[in-house]
Amino acid sequence: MRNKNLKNLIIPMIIITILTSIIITINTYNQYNKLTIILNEKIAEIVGLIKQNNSELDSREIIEMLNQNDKGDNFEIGKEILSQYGIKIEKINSIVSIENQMDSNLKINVSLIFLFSLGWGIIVICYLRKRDKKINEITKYINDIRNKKYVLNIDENSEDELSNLKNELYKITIMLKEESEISKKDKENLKISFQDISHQLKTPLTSITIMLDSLQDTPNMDEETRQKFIFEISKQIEWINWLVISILKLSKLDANVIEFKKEEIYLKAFFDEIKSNLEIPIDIKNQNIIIEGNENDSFLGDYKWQQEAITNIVKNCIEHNIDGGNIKIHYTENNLFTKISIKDEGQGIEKEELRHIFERFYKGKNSSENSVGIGLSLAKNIIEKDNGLIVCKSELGIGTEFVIKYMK
Amino acid sequence: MEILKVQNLTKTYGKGENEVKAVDDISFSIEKGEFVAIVGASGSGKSTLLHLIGGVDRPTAGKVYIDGKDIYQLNDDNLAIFRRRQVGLIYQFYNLIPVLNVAENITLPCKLDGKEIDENRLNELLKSLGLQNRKNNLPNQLSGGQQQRVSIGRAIMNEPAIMLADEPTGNLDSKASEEIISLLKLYNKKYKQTVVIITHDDKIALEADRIITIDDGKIIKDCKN
Repeated sequence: MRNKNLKNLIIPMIIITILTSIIITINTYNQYNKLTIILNEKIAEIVGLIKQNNSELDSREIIEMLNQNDKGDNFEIGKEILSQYGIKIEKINSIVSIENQMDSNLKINVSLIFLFSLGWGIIVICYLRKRDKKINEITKYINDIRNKKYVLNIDENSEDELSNLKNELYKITIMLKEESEISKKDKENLKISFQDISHQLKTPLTSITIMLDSLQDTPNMDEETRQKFIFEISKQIEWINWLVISILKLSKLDANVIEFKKEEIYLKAFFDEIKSNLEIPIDIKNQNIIIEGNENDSFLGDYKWQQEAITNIVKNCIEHNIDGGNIKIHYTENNLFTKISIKDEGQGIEKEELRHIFERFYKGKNSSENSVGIGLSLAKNIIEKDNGLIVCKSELGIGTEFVIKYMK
Repeated sequence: MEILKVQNLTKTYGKGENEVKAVDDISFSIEKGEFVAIVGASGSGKSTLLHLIGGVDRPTAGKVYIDGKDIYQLNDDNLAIFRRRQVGLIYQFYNLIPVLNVAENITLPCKLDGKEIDENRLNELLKSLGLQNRKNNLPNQLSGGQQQRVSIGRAIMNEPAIMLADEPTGNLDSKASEEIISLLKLYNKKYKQTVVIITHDDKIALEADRIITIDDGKIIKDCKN
């Protein structure tokens, strides 16, 4: 039986019922016996009286009458005589011993039934109280959780009827405890992010301030220098713009407020578009993008967002690749996932650095001045939102490979 | 949040001259959501350690805390129930029940608990395991890789605190191995499922966030990947 406690209830009940039935049966049998003896004694007395006063009467006739079922006239005469003395056939008060015996029978039977009910009642009450105690324990536990006291001492490893409830409660406790820790960590991270962001913004702003100051303080600056400064300032502003947009994107992704569409993304068209979008940087560094994969391969995700993520990765590879080098892109699809591999032939990344490249604002030793360290972090965030996994492998002097798997 | 804490764990077999210390005074802890690989040569004590962590085998000395609970304080019955609910185990040789089909194998621990099966969750799980068309097949109708995926499904269906895998790719070719590791990583990332995997294959170990190296029953290295 599933439920141990139900066993504790039902088995005692069955035992008590059987015991009581046995006792009542024995008791009833005894009582019946006693009554029969009393009647038989009285009959014997009467037979003796008749015989004494009527010796010609054949004893056999009397004995036969005892065993016959039809009553005959003897019965009517006898009944008439009895009723003259106020003794009615249906009433038990005719024979005193019988009346006493019936009284005591009644008392015993009622007591037995009463005891039986009492026994049942006690068992049921005990069971209910035990159960109440368990429910109270759970209520107190829930109360503790509500007051943020995440104690993990509920006994959820039993098989009583409340065990599944306790087990789920236990899991909720773990979940809440964890969320409160994550929330603390998030606040810390937010603080660090704000520091990072303001630091990132300060640099271009300072540049702009210096240059504007220069322009203001040097009214007779030559045209060429002036144009140079203005150009620099507009570049810095573009930079700030881009920074703000990227950071906004990251925050929105963090806060999970963006809806990712579920579209079938066919990789051939997907990569063809990326390749054409990156034509200029590729040309500048004289590189080659080679794309290999089955025409029908695809994965489920948000086209725009995933294209942005993958583009960031390819851009990263272009940046770190050797001039004139190749970037090999290979994709394949199977029952479980769609895999994309992007390889460059650059200088590679040191093992120490490899574990940090997806961190926000992390700039590798060999990255250009213009990179702020958001590209890969953003890409990873976006890829993971569409059920993807990304790892980076690298060998110094040989190249770096990004492997992305979009799980089904 | 610390989900596993191992304190001075020791397991000895045999007596006197024949005494063997399979696990020798090991202590470490694992945070929730970590993906840890335990590596070591054959006979280094990795499997013994895994079974001690999972509550399958009682230690000679030391304690194991899962979710803050000292699991060896429980009696055998309660320990079995705890294991069913909080530990997902995956073995090299799958250990599926041959007379039950895929769906029944996966939902077995839940049914033993008397829980109602959430059909939606089961179907989603089957889809992510690539087994939605194999729902009613028996294990002997599946390839090795597919069988191992059923094992993973079974291990994760009950949302255990910790998932332990003993050489899960030991019996599979490289393609199937890749599938299995990708699945474990997906569940690790998506459901914050803590995964501890034993392997003697360095390539597999490199997929983890943290590698613990064991030799002769002791930890000789424990570093982040």
